[in-house]
Amino acid sequence: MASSTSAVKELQRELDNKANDLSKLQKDIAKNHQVRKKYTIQLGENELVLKELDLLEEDANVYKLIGPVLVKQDLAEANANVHKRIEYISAELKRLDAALQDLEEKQNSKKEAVRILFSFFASFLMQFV
Amino acid sequence: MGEKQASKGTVTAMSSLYPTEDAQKAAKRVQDTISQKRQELEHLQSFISDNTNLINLVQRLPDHLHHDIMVPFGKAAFFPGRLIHTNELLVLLGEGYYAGTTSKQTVEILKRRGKALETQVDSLNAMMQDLKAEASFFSTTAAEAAVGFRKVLDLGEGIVEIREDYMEEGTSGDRETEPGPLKEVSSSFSEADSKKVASEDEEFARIMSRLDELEKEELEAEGNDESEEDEPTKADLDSISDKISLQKLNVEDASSTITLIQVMFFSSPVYRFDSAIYTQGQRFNELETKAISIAFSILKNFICEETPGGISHDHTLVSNVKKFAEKAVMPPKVENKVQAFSSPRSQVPRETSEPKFDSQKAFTGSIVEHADNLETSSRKNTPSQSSGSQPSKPVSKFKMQRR
Repeated sequence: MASSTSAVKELQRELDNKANDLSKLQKDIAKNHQVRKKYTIQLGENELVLKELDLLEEDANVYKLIGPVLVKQDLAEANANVHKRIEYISAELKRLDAALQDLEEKQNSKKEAVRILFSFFASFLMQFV
Repeated sequence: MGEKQASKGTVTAMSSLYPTEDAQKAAKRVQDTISQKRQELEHLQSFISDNTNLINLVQRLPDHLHHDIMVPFGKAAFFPGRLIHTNELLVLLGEGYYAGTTSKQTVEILKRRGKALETQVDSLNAMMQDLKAEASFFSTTAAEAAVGFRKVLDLGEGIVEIREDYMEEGTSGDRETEPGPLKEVSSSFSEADSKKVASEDEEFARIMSRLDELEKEELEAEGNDESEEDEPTKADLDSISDKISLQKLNVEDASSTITLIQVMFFSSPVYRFDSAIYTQGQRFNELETKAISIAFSILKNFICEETPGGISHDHTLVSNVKKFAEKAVMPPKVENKVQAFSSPRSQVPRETSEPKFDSQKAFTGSIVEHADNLETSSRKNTPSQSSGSQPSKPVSKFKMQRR
């Protein structure tokens, strides 16, 4: 009797642990989605800026708002900056994508593990009921 | 119609599958998202109207050299001012970048923005259409489920889901061809038992090959000091590999049989083995799993025999399990199986292995039980077996020692 109850307890603990891990992973994924959303919006904005900068005449005055002041910038410099910014965001998005994929794989395996553990737990209990 | 047909499959009312409340909840959720999207759309529309207004204004600005305006100062105050340089504008491009442009260029920029806004509106509209279709689906499902539920209750009709379990053809075939000899040879087996045997046979056959290996190991270990027993055991090996198992239960001690079977069911390796099966991704039904569990615990007992520390472990297990078995309510299936194992003790163990014995009965046999008086009984019995029956089909023997 004692051995069987302890086995049940052990199983339950394991199940709890797995479930916790799973919920943690899901939280991470949600966070990842949020960050990604932010970056996607920024990417769109930057692309818009780049398009407009390309359409500007070459001698146009370009200013960058840094804090409370407008700082005059060269058009070429501004262009390069925006390019750099876009590159950075793209890289970041790619990284986030990879992380997301990894997380999802982990989540799937965890889900499977929990499922197996649960079905086994049920069948194990059924032996004694 | 709404009743369950246990043998072939189940018929469930749609309402039980998709409860009305759930469908309604889903519909409500979709409606919520639709209203959210509608708000976004309104937001965008206001942007568009702002943009067109701005375009108009910017277009009109350079018409005059200067404009008299009220300049906002802080939140509440205005003071009169005059707008000069009416063709010089500073446009925010985004991300903190500003560009000094003429009003004409500004209008172009604003028009481009207007286009971008319109595409956004279009995509939002498409999304809303999708959502609306989804919402109508959910609401109709809810309505159908509600109606179906009432119909099932009142008239016995309505929308139902019919689900049939996949049945392996082999299983039913086996049952039908279940030969008579089984009853002849082991009349103590009930019909139900033999059916179970048929379904479990396949799994068991697989286990048998593993048992085979372990038995070989045991043989090697045993061979040194127990040379008399060697011959029958070796022959036994052949019989197992042929998947022809024999009905030979030499049971001297009835209670010991039962205890051992209880050990099989309740010793911990049962569930450990179970888990191994599950992780292989295969799904066995309860019965099959149990059959394997039994086989595995036999295996485990073998291992315990071989390892020096195993004996004492076994012993505690027996006492442990005994206690548990007394308390535990065994399911009828399990009870049956215990019968299947223990019943042959009433039979004379000298049943010879007839050739008509087929592999169907693999599960029923192949346990030779040596109880407390192991040494004497084994010596008494084995020679008679080997001489009485055909030498090619000798006794299968799983030795289980109890101390």
